[in-house]
Amino acid sequence: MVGGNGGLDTLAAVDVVLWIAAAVLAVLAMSCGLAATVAPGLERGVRIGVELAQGLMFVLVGADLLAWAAGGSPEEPVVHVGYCVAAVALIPLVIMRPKGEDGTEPEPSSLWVLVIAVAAVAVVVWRMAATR
Amino acid sequence: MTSEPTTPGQTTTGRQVLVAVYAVFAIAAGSRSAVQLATKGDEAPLAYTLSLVAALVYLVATLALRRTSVRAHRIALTAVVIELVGVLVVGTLTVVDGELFPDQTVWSAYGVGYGFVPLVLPIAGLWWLLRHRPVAEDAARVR
Repeated sequence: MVGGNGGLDTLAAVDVVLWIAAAVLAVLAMSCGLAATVAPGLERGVRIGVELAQGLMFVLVGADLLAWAAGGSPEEPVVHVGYCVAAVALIPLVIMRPKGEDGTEPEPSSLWVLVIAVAAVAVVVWRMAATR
Repeated sequence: MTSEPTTPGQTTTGRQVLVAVYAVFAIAAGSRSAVQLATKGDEAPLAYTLSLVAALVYLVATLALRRTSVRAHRIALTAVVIELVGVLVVGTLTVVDGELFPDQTVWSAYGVGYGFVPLVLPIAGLWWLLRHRPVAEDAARVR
């Protein structure tokens, strides 16, 4: 973090937020795994957590793009944009389930699917921070 | 090997997990190879094209595994076998001759860059598909 330079301060702050978000997502993925195995009582909480995480992704990517606009582009802009798109699109793409053949609403995704989706997004957010 | 037959429309946790992992890999390998081909395609065109092929195989497997018909089962089985052959052939070639490709592919060194998941995934997929053959073959054909 460089004092007196608003652009770099913003960049450093976004970096820290991205690392924290990656850690939180990793914890959420582990919680989903616990809910699927030894702590079924956590299910409702982790499902809400995944929805909140999806919202968080939009906020994170928005902040990242604002930081980009405020000062300097990432080392590999195309790759970074790819990670930004993946961060917001991965969870819906992975947990989305087709309707039944008779048009019935699908059951919620398995908790193991949530583990995979959230763990993948944690990796993406970590890569977002690493390619900043 | 005992087989646990599935009926059309039945989606188990195992199927959901496979679909999720294949979807993640389709996105990861597809976006990586697309970026590589677009930005530095002339550096290692064969390696990046192989990664794109891997991504397409993952995509086909994802879409086929989402469905429970006999036809979808066959398509998924074919995609998974192609994937297994790909990772074994490319993995072996890259281990024997490290200079063969100027850059890594998804299947290089048996998928070491992705934590060997590209090697484990087709084996798990094959095992699951062979254990969960669709039984209502006639019903599915009529449908």
